Formats: sequence, structure tokens, C-alpha cells
Amino acid sequence: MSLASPTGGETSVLSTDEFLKGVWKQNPVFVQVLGMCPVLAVSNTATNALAMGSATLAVLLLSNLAISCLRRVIPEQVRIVTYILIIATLVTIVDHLILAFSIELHRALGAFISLIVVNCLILGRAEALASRSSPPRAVWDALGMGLGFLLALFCLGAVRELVGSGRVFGLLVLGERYQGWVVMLLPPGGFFALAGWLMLFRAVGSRVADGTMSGNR
Amino acid sequence: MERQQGFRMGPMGRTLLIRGAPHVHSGASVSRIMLHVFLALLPAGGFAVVWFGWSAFATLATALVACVITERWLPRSPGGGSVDPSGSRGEVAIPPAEPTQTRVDRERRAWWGDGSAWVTGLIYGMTLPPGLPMWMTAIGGVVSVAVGKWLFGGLGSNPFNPALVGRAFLQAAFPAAMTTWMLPLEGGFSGLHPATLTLPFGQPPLATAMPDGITAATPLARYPFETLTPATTDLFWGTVGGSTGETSAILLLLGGLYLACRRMLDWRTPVAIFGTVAALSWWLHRWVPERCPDPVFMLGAGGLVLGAVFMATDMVTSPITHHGRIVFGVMIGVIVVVIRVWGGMPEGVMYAILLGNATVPLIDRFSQPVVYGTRRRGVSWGQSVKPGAVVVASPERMQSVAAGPRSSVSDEFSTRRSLANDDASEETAGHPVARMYAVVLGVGLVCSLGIVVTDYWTAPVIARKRSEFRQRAVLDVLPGATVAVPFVRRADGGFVPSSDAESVPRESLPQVFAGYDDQGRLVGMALEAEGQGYQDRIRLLFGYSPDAEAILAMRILESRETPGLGDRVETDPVFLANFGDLDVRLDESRSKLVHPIRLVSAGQRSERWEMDGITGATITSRAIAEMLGASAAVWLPALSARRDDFERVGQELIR
Repeated sequence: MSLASPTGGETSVLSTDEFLKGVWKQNPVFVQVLGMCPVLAVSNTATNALAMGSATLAVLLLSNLAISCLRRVIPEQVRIVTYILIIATLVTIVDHLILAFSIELHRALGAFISLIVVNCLILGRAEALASRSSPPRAVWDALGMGLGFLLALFCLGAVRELVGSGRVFGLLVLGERYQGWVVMLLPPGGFFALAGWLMLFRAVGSRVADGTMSGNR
Repeated sequence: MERQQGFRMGPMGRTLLIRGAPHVHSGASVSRIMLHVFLALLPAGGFAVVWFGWSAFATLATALVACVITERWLPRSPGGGSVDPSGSRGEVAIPPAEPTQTRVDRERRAWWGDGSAWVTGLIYGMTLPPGLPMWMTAIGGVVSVAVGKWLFGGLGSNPFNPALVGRAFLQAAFPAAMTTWMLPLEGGFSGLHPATLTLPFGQPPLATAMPDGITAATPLARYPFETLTPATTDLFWGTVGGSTGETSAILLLLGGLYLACRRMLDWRTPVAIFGTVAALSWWLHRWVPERCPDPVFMLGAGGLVLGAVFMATDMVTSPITHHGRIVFGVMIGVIVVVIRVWGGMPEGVMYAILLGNATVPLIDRFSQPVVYGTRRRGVSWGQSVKPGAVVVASPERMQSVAAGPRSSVSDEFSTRRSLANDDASEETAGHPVARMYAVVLGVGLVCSLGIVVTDYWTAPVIARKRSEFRQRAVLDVLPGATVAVPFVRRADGGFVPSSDAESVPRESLPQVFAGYDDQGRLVGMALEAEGQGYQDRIRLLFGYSPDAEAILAMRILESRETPGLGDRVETDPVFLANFGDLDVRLDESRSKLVHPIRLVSAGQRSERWEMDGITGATITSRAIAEMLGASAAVWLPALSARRDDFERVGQELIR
């Protein structure tokens, strides 16, 4: 249940490090570059991005929990089949819940809710972690990764919506006379925004890494 | 001429001449070629300024400035600072003293550079609408050079024509402004187009808000609506509307001729393009004249001459071999015709050339001459791997590679699992298989239960929300109505409220809604219509008034059209003004429309049964017009025949 840390002592599995790794060091979008399809398609407004991120977080959390609880029961040979069954069921349930909550939101997210099933992030965490760890650890990891995904989506969505239409969350921010850059609301804009954020992430990350390395010397 | 190129015609054919030193430099260089290209473009550019006025001058000047300054400001390579000529970092190179004249020449040349930014700037400026806001031009210029050239590694490494990259970016970012065309100013230039001096990042004035006579569609954009073409002399001299530099075919061709005489332009590509466009459009004009104009119009209208002579012949982004260039030209010609005739955009030259640029490496590869003595073309592209062979590192696996495709495990990352699999497969197929079935079935059952429970629980909520959404939409399209009642059509043709209908088959969901005001009077009926738009299916709701025999309003229910272009059908005031009095009268037999709904180009609506289209969103506007027409033709006869059914229900409501 606890891990041996590099410095020799023992750290609890539910440490903040484990949680934050999903947000920063192993961010699913900016570091692992997983699940690009929904990231590029649904991040055209901040609201859509948040909704999609929340849906993915919910599915990730529940699927990690379920798979972790069943990890000793599912035979190796059928593990992928079973994981997909569980994930698909959760996605269907979340889809119904979104539809019951708001038709406009469901229409905006469109087919991409169903595509959460094939989001590499969820199956990847299930295979790499949830099937080999205890439920608390799996849940903790899911929370970290899901939050990292949500934050990344939100960054993209906010920038795209702001430059593309001058609004954030539908509220006019840059004034009425602002000419929106329509391309940012379209798929190419997703690529541009993602490239920009990746550049920023790497630049800041390498500067932080240089700083810690020189500090340790 | 042959001798100059190092060949001589001898008795046995072409003989290669080899000469020893001293050699004299012919003076050819990239910057000289660019200078001549620039000069060749100037006549057409000058005509643009004379014909379109100061706005055109502003556009061209801004484009040039933006491109040149971006190129000067960016470092040599995307990786970091300028290439250090002194070699290793830290050393300071002391350049040898040079004669003054050489230094002066070098400084003067520094602004010209290799000339490519100047040429890019001029061509890019000439592809833009003359009245484009200057700030948009500037941004596009920066993108042209920074993304189109510098990011790929500088001149020579860019796969796409930089000017077109900038224009494509602008087209995607500001589609409305990029499809607002200025009328040529009669009698010389005077004054600026109002949009040119828009504040940076501010909206230019809407085309509909500008006084009459300032904007108009180009000949190509007008063709689908009017099938009338301007006089051929106008087209070729350039006295028509269009992008800043594209109109004057004669001047552009003269420039191209000048370059061809200096052997800086290969005639193969332009001739192939013109030939293909002419041949295809001649053939298509005979079959579908309402979609495809005559060949002379196709050649002279739009940016075809500019693109064929100056953009498709760009040496970096076009094929190397002569055969390749002809293939390239033919391909571009085909794509141009296809986009112009069947595509949603009036002008296809930009995308045709960009698509062509993308295939140039492939064309180059397949048009290499055959290597003498073999049957192989060109250089070898590396060892080809036999299909099915697995490339692995460890020597133990070589046995399994020789055994053939997919013979053994090809991933080395889950060796533990593969060993476990081997062990498991050695056991008899008894317990493990039964367990697998049991687990999968068990999980499947639990999951199905979960889905069924959720569905049962949420279905009423979802149904309620859907009907609320519908109600709101119906009240939107029937102004004055306060209550909406859904109706279904019975087998005998009568209409009953869907709540009254007994066994309602699933297919006949409420298709008609009736709207009533406070007094129970019938305001009108709302109908759904669906059809194929530009991107995807469009679903809309429209309100029909049987008294006025007109469509009152329309509301889009579902659409995935391009924001800023196709989705302007929801917001464009001119388009929305189509409704309210859109005539859908039925004839005496009450079985069909007197006048079918017709789409005309923006601002040309003269009859009540016509609809103004949206410039730049032709396909979406046309789709809406067709959907309305089809739905009206099918439903209105039935609705007006059974009008009493609806009015009766209204009377019952107020009781």
C-alpha cells in the first residue's frame, strides 16, 4: 500500500505527489498527449471544454474504481473486453445524464460523448494502474489525471473561445467591436492553440527543471 | 541556346560539353530571379491601384511591409538565434576589412535579402480583396512568412506556397471580410473603401451596412445565380471586380511572357493548367451550362491567370522534372474546375494550388527518369521491408522472424503476460474458458442492468425537456402565438392533436405544430424540414400562416455549418428579412405552389417568392431555400385543406 521513495523513506500511496503528477508532470494532454480527438474537437468554447472534461473525469473515476475492485476477478485473457464493457456502460449512463440535464449542451458535445469510450486516457489508466492497484490508489490516480485533463481542456477552450469570438463562457470580454478569428473555433484553431500551450508547457517545464537541477548542486 | 546549357547537337544526338577553367559566373542568383519576378508583377499591381483605388494601394503596401519586416525580424532558423558564422560559440570573428563599395552593396542588398519576402508580399497582397482591413492584411502577411516559410526551414524547404498559406489562414480566420468585394471605382481612384482603415482587431462594417454601390459579388460568385457573364474584353483587360491583382489577365500574361523569355519561368505548368481548365470546362459547359460557365470565362475570371503564372510556377513548391510539371498543371486544372463547378466556393485556385503543392514530393518521386541500365526510377529510397516481416533487435527472435508473418509475439513490453499466456494455453481448455465466459457474462449483465435503470429513470425527464424545447422553438417561429399544440396526421389525412391520437405509431411523431393566440385563434402552423447543408444535415422549423399564405419565420434547430459563414443564416439581417412575407401561395387546385421559392444573390430580391442568399455561404442558403420549398410543396396543400381541424382545436382550447 505504500511506496518506497527514491530517498529511502516510505511515502503513502495517497500522497500529493501522486495526485499532482496527473496534473503537471504526467499531464494527459500536454505531456502524454493522449485523447487528442476530443481535446481538439470539443474545446472550441470554455463551456464545452469544461463539460467534456467533467464527463471524462467522471467516467475515469468510476471506471478506475470498478476495474480496481474487480482486478482479481477478471482473467487476463478477457481483460480488454471487460474494461471496454464497463467503460462503455459508464459512458452511456453519463450520456443519458447530460441529455436529461441540458439538451443544448448535449447537442453541442454531439458525438464526442460517446467517443469517451475510446479515449486512450481511460483505457490506458485502467490497463497501467487500475488493474494492478488497490481501489484507493486507483481513485487517487484517476482524480489527478482527470483533473489534469480537465484543466488542459479548459485552457484550450478558454483561449479558443476568447480569440475566436471575444467571449469566455458566452460572456463578452473583448468588447462588441472585436473581430473574432473564426479559424480558432474550427479544428485548425485547435491545433494552433494546442501547439501554443505545448510550447508554453515545455518552456516553463524546462526552466523549472533547470532551476531544480541547479538548486540541487 | 543548347550550347549555353552545355549540350551540342552532334551527329549522334546531344553531346555533353565539358569545359575546363576559367569559368565566368552567369550572374544568376535567387535574388536576381526574385527581382525579375517582382518586376513582372508590377504592371498588374499598378493596374490594381488605378482600377480599385487607394484601398488597393493600402492592401499591397501593407502586405509588402508585413512580409518584409517579418522576414527581417525572424532569426535564421526556427531553433534559435542566427546561424553563427564564426563557428563555435564564444569566439568572436573579426571580419577582414572589405572594400567600401562591396560593403555598401551588401547593406543595400540586406533589405532586399533574397527577394523572396518581397515577391511573397506582392503576390499575397494581390490575392486579397481590395477593401480588406489593413490589420487583417498585416496578420496574414506575418503568417505567410512565419508559418509558410520560416517554420518549415526557410526558402527552399517550404512545401506550400507561402503567399497562399497566408491567404488560406485569412480565409479561415475572417471568412466574412474575405468575401466582401469592392466595386471598381469608375473614373480613377478617389477615396478609400470604408473597411480599409478599421481599427486593429475591430470589426469591419458589414457589407449590408455600407451604402449601395460599394460592394458587389465578383463575376464568378454571381454566375450560379445569374448565368450571365461580363464581356470577354472586360475580363481580360481587368475591368471587373475581384481580388486586388487577379483581374487583369493581359498584364499578368505579359509579365509571365517576360519571365519566360528570361528563362525564369517554365511554360509547361501554366500551359498545362490553362489547357486542362479549357478542355474540362468546354466539355462540362455542354453538359451542365447552369453550373459550368464557358471556357473563355473560366480562363479569364477569378485568380486563375495569377495562380497559374506566378504561384504554380514557384520553383520551390513545384515539381523538378518537366513531366512532373505537366502532371502538376493538369492536376491543378482539374481541381480548379471541380471546385468552381461543384464546390461551395466560387473560387478554387488557391486550394487547388495548395493541394497540388502537397503532392509535389510524390510527383517528383514518380517522374524521375529511369536510371540507365536498370528499370528503377531515380534514387533508391532505402531498403524496402518485405510485408509481414517483423523488425526486432534480439537475436533469439530471428528464428521467429524467418518463420513468417505474425508467427510469434511481436511486442516485447508484456513478456510477463505472454509467458503467462503460454502457460495458460498449455492447460486443458476447461476451467479458464468457463471462467472467462462467466466473468464477461456477469459483468455484461450488471452493466445492462445499469443502463436499463438509468434509461428508465431519465426517459421522462428527457422527453419533457425535448417537448419544452420544441414548444419554445414553435412559439419563436409563430409570432403572436402563446400556445403550441402538436398534431399528428391520421391515416385518413386528418390532423389530430397528438395527445388525442390513440395508438400513435413511432414514425408519426408530431410533425406539425399549431400556434394559437390568447383568443384561441389560429396564428399558423409550424413544420420541420431537413436537408443536406454544406457541412452536415440541417434541421429547421418554419412557421406558416394560412391567412397570409406566407412563411413567417424560420429557426435553425440543428446545424453544423461554419461559424462566421454558414451559420450567418441564423443572424444575417438580410437573410432573416427574407421571412415574414415569403410567398408560398397555392394555386387554384390547392395542390402546388404558384411560384417555387427561388434563391437569388444577396440584395437582388425583387419578388416575394425569392430569397436573398448570403455571399460566401451559397450552399447553405441554397440548402435552406430548397428545404423550405420541398417541405412547403409536400405539406401546405394538406394543411390548407384540413385547416378546420386546427381551428376547431383552437376553439376548444379557450372553452
